Amino acid sequence: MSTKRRRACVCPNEVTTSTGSTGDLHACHETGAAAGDRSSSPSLLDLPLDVLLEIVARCDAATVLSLAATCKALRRIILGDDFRRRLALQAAANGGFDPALLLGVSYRLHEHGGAEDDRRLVQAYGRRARFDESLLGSFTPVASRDGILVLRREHRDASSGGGGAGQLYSTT
Amino acid sequence: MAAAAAEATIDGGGKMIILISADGKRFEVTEAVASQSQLISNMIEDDCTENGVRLPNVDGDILTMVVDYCNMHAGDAAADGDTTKASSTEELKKFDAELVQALENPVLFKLILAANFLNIKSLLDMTCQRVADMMSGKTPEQMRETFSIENDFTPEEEAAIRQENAWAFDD
Repeated sequence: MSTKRRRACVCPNEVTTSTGSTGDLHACHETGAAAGDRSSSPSLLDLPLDVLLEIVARCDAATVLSLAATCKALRRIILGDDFRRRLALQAAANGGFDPALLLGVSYRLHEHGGAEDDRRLVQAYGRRARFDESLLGSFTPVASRDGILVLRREHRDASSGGGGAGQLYSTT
Repeated sequence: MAAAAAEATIDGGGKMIILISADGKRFEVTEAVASQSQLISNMIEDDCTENGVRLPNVDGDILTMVVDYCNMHAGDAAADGDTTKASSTEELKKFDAELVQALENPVLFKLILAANFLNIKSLLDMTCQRVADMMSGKTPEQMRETFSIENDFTPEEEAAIRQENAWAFDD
């Protein structure tokens, strides 16, 4: 027997295959699901650890934290060394910093004659804010703790809008 | 109409390999199609596919999807391409999108397990991404519902977790 059971939803050119099904996307899916043995349906937690980590590594930080708040087993896995190691590898492949972990940048401009408290917060969602190592060429790290990095740049070039101190938040 | 499908599999040329699902369904595919599975590719190299390849932990419905996927992507893998059957990139994208969109767990999880066992990286990547997409933006409670996860935290533990990462829970 060959693969002539190709489902109708698979390829629009072959709607007239021999399944005799309705050719409707949902019908296909439901016959598939119904045929499966429900009593032995695998759940998220039945997936092998490396597959689970693969999935978690594809989620953004907020989703990972939500997932870690669903149950003890998943929390253990996400807070565990395997996942940390995986993130470290991912970060290493990225030149030492994983942009997915950057939550936002808050900075204050000290322009000549500018407002005293001109503080701006840029959220990193949607990758609008990024951090790359070249920034360290023009900023001086001041302190870092619990995933917060404080950088300072002395005012040098008036036309650039001035220097300032910035904080980079990232998850731990 | 059955002939059309049968021809399609023979078109790829080369030896045919029989895959046998847990429930005894048999699938005849070309070597090129089957060797997208690293597991089967290794078996082909070791010459142990003569009597068919038994896949005791993949049932027929799931194997049908896997074979469909591999048939569709066979042109992809054979880098020399130019076979008349080779699917265009756009067709493939559409096929892949429709395949994963139609899947809900537990079928999705079974497909992941099969892709993992057969070691078909592109299918595993795609299905893992689908689960990640399904999780995206959901609250812990919504995730529990979607994936049948039992909440085994005490209310106190849960409150502590929420407080610890308050920024992530803006619901």
